[in-house]
Amino acid sequence: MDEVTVRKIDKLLNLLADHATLVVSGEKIARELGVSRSSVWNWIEKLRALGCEIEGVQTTGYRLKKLPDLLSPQLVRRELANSNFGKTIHHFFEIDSTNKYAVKLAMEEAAEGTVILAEEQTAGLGRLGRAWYSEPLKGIYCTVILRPSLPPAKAPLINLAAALAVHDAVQRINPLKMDIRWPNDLIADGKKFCGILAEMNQELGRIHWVTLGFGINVNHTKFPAELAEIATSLRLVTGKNWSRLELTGQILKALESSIRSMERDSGREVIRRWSAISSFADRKPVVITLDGASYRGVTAGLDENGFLKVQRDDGSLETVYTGSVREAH
Amino acid sequence: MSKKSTKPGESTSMDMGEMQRLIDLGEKNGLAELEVEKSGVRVRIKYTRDNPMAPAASPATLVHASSTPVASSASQPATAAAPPVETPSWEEDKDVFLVKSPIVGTFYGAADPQSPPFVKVGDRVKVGQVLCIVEAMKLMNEIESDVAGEIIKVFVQNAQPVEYSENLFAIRTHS
Repeated sequence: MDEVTVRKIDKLLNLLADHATLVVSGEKIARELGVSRSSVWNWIEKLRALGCEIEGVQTTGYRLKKLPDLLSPQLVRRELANSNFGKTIHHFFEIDSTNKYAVKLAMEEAAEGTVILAEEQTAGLGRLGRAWYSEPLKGIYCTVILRPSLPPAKAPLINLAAALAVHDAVQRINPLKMDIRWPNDLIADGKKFCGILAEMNQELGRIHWVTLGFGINVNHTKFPAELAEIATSLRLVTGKNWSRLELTGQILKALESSIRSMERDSGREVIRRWSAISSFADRKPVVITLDGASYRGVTAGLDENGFLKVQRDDGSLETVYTGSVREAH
Repeated sequence: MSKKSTKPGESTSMDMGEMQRLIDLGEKNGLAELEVEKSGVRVRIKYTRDNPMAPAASPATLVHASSTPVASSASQPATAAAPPVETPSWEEDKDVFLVKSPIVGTFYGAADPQSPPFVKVGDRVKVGQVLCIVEAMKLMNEIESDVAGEIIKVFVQNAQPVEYSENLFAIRTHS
């Protein structure tokens, strides 16, 4: 779908949502969309194909019966009130990777809080070239551009703040039992439902930009065999469908407030809250794997940069900067 | 894991943090000489007692136990009998630019395990060219070159931890 089409669909969805339960005349739609009256029917059909329930009212116009759960910019903004994050939203029905696109926009000086949303990723990115499974219309594939007033050394903490934002957003909508696995995997029923990956560009002690990417499994009902043991979705955990629109809005609002809090206190509150929520913060038997080598130990809190301290089985104290942290059995 | 940045000696498979710990060990125990062998590299450190405060400046002779030649920018071959090799003073050479790590993290020389390294010794790089990634807590930081020149040294091995401000690359800006 080309950009003009995506923009017109966004406009039409917003127009119908503005007049929900009212009949909107074909003439008004044609005028607002900048299309001919005779093509309005085609546009309505496009929306129906996307899951929008629209009633055609003979000779007078169209009435919206049910909005689809599409992450269309103006629908997302309805969830955001006055937040700065999400003032500019780039929405794609299909993209290779929202992170990749965000990096390009960030280098072109896109403002802080610019959001990239996709209904489907064809090459979603995980850590070190790994893939993120991005089933169409089921998940939230979202990257936010940040320009925080923080020293680069504190930037990794943004990943803890991001995990907290997802945790808080889920909790606000439908409280459920969750864990955060260091640094930023969201876990429910022992499986991962959200992965977060950030990229930073800095120079001379100043952060130019950070792109913060979220892959959230929301309404997936199944996963490919190779992921079934380790991945879950909010739908699988709770047995109900979630509004991706609502969840996206809550995440962006929570993220904005935790980034602002980090700028005030260098991340102290983020570390405190993360440590209170995550079972990985303290006295958890873990296996740490980096570059093929593993060791076992017990977690011993986070340091002031958010790095995980681990007491190894041989008694020595290790600081984990990166690598995979898994519960030891 | 605690590592202090040190003056680089000869290129070895032993990392600089490990070297520093050895130097400190001998220093603390008042040793005259210390010899250690690890994964094909033998290190012999002789301490000059009249200058105990500057262990890094003490001659540290590195011996490669394996017969494989090791790339090195110094011209003298390192042998057990050779006189101490002058430590190149990167910090003072104005034609050599040192790329340092802006954050604590893990050094990656390539985008992913399947890809070739971004740069290697002998490569000419441009301003803004990506040299490596330093990752901390799933935050990937692509380190770009601030200068144009030739890579003359890569200080860190793939997937090794780096400290804030630790040397990553030496780039000769004039040849």
